[in-house]
Amino acid sequence: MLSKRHASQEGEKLERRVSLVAIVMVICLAILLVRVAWLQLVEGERYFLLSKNSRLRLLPLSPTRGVILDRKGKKLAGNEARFSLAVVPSNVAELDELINDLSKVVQLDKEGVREKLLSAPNPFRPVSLKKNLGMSLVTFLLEREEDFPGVVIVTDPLRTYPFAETGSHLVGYVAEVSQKELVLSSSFGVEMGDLVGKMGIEKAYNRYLQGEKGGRQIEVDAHGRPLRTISEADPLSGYDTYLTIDLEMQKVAEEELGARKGAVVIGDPHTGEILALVSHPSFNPGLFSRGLSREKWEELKNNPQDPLQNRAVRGEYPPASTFKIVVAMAALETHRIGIKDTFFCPGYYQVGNRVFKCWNEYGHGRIALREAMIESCDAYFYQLGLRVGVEKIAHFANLFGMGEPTGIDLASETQGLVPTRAWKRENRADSWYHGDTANLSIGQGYILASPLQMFRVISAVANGGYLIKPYLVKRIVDVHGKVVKENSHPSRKKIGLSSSNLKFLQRSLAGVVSEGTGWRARNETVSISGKTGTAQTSDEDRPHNWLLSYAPSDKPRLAAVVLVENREEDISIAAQISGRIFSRIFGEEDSLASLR
Amino acid sequence: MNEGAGALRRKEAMTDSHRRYDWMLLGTTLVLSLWGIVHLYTIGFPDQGYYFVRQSIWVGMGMALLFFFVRLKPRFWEKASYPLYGIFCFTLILVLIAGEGSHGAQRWLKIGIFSFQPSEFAKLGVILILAKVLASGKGVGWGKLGLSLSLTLLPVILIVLQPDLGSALVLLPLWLGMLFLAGTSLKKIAVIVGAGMSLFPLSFPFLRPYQKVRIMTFLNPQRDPLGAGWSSLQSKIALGSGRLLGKGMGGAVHTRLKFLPQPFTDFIFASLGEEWGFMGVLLLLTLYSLIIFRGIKIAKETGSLFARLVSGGIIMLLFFQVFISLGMVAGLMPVTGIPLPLMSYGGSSVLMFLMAIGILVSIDRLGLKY
Repeated sequence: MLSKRHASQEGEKLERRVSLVAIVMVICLAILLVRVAWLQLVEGERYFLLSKNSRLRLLPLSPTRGVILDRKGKKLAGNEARFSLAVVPSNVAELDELINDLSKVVQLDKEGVREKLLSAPNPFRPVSLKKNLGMSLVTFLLEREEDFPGVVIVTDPLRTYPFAETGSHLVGYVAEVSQKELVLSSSFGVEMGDLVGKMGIEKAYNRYLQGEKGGRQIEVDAHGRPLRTISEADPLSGYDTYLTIDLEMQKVAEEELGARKGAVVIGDPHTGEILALVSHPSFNPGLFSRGLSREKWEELKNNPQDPLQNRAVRGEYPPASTFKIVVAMAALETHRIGIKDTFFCPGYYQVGNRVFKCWNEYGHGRIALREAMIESCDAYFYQLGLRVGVEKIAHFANLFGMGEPTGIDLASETQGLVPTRAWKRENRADSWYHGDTANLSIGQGYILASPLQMFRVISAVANGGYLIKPYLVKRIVDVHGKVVKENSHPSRKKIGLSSSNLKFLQRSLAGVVSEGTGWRARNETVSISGKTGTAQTSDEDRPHNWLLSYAPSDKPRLAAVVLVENREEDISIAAQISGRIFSRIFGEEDSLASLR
Repeated sequence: MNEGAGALRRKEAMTDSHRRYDWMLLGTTLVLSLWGIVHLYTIGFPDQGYYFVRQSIWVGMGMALLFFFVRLKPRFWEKASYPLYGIFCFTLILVLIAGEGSHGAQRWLKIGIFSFQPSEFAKLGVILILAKVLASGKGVGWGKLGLSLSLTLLPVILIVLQPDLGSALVLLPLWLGMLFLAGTSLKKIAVIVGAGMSLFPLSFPFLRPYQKVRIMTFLNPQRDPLGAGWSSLQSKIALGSGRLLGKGMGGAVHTRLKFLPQPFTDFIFASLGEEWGFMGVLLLLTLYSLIIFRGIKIAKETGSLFARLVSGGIIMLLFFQVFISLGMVAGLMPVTGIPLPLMSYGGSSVLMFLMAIGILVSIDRLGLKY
């Protein structure tokens, strides 16, 4: 009986809850009705007029794009004002007449303009017709505003690059958003005609740099004169981005590379901060901000020198003898060899019926690992590599970050290639031969790496066995200087190499410069350790030339990779360039003050 | 012995084993659907036939389904709730893999010549499964709460991924409403609401950047004066300019001039208000209120908790969508895409609501016959 009563009370409670829900609904609908009554009965007259005369205008307010600065605050990308001619389609009285009148003062593609105005998705928004108007034209149009109904002069900021070609690949450039990008980024508030970053930092950090658009909804009278602002939102400026790049160092590196094709990467081997990132030939990013003509663009794009390519990050080259660092480490770590074990170099080495030459045709004689590194003896490394085997070599290459993207904060980079048996079976439909291993042992054959990837390799040697993640942005701040994002705890992971092997390798690399193939890097200012490399190319007389290095040898503060494509000089030009760069940087007082 | 008025009514009902159809509910539904078709014709300029013909086919199919559903017993739905829920969630996954996109979202599943929006049907699936779970056993404990929340969150997450924030977010208040109807203690509901509010910011790091932008705009349309803010102003102008008597059928100038995004679906109420004026709005709200009141009555009188939760859930879903859809146009709600039940263009939404009304009528007729 008790439980039954309980049940019926419970039942009543639940019924009451249905009624409660109904009451809440009624209240909500009543509020809705009152609101609609307000809009239609009280404000209806005004809305009726607004809808009848379309006396509303929408003025978009562009945000200022954030600036890009180097680590010391020097401006690499900034903004200037420019004016563009736009037409608000809904304000145009007679379209053909207006186009005719306009074409008398400005050069216009009449049909194109007509098409553009008629197909505008929102007739209240200004459609930009011509950018970069001269001052005289701006004043002319403003004075005769009434003769050109619908025409407005829009002020847009123009992106400028004060140092032009310096660091162009890493800073990047901006240009009008493409149809494809529009689809991908529509939800970030990017619209047709907007400028977005297309390369480098401008692209990778576009979201931070672009800011947010504002706008003003205004009511105008019959003559198009503004009566009042209905609602308004200020644009939000983009964030300023401080790079890890040191402009002075960037300039030094660019000057020393000179007119040669190639790349330079300089950075802190402990943190992965990149201080200079050079790719040559380069281009002036300012060209794009002013709107590049089709021919100019084609010319840049199809230039056989490929100036738009960022060779430091996207270039793929055989690492050549610089790869011996990895092979030596693989041999030592897997105990396939002791540092006292020797191989004999008669100037070549025969694998099956193929003869693999050493670069020194007279031979190095019987030598151990240290001499083999210093002299970069190929015959020694063929034999060493065959003893270690392709899989172990590939494994250690991967440990040093080869064959995978470095994770640098740029939009695109190469991942290079570390070949294995499986890779060759899948991609070349062929089995792996001893000859392939021999080639791999001296960094030739299928293996490919970017200068930035090799920067990780040499940094790991310099910093005692940590794989760093290179990065370019130090911090991002808003207009008030508040830090929005900061890269203060760079990530790096321990590779797990024995410290005695590492010490041995470091001593060998010091020997490369002090007494071996890297001697041209020697200078009086700072001690350098490094590894040279000369990569065979299809043009036999003009190989690529590498030097991976760090300095000072005993307490490394900087690591650098210099790559010269198709060197013309008959010497180790990369070593020479590295030596000069380091002696200039270390020769300058407090040029390294901002490093920890 | 005091058994309460409801039980008494139930007794009366039992004597009449063949209850009549709820013609008031059916008639109102039919009037709304037909009004929707006619309205789409008047604003469909210049190709008026397109929306008119399609919507007519959908309503026709929906009505057929409705009268089929009327014959199914609530028992059937109780049994079918798990399989149906499974099927709907499966289609939600399918749409993410093989769906068709538009406006950057992937919402449609193409079967033959028909395109379906699985998220619409999933709403019904959620109502059935929640009713089943909450009506089983006695009381609503934390275990049941957790289970029902998980069952709601699964489709919510799948729909957010499409992404269709509007449809996904309507499911959460629906869950809360059904908890309330199931007799969950107010203390528990307060805890849930509190937890939900404090957890909301925690979900932010897991969202994709553009979803963050959407949520920020959702919370504050002033942030986006050119997009959502502009639509909001234009919809107010369209609605307001209808004044008392409206501009007459075919007179929705403001709508026809393409000032509004999605004039046939999300913003349909703007053109309704423009053509029919305040009198039309009054009529529209009266019609919806009739459906709601019949639904509430059915929910109250039915003898089983499951049936009550199903009918209550259906009515709440309809109410939420009406309120959000109208509130958005009237500037009471942020701009989100949600169809106006039975009126907005779109087969999936119309079919789902007509099916739901069918279930409602069947509960009314057969609620006690298990």
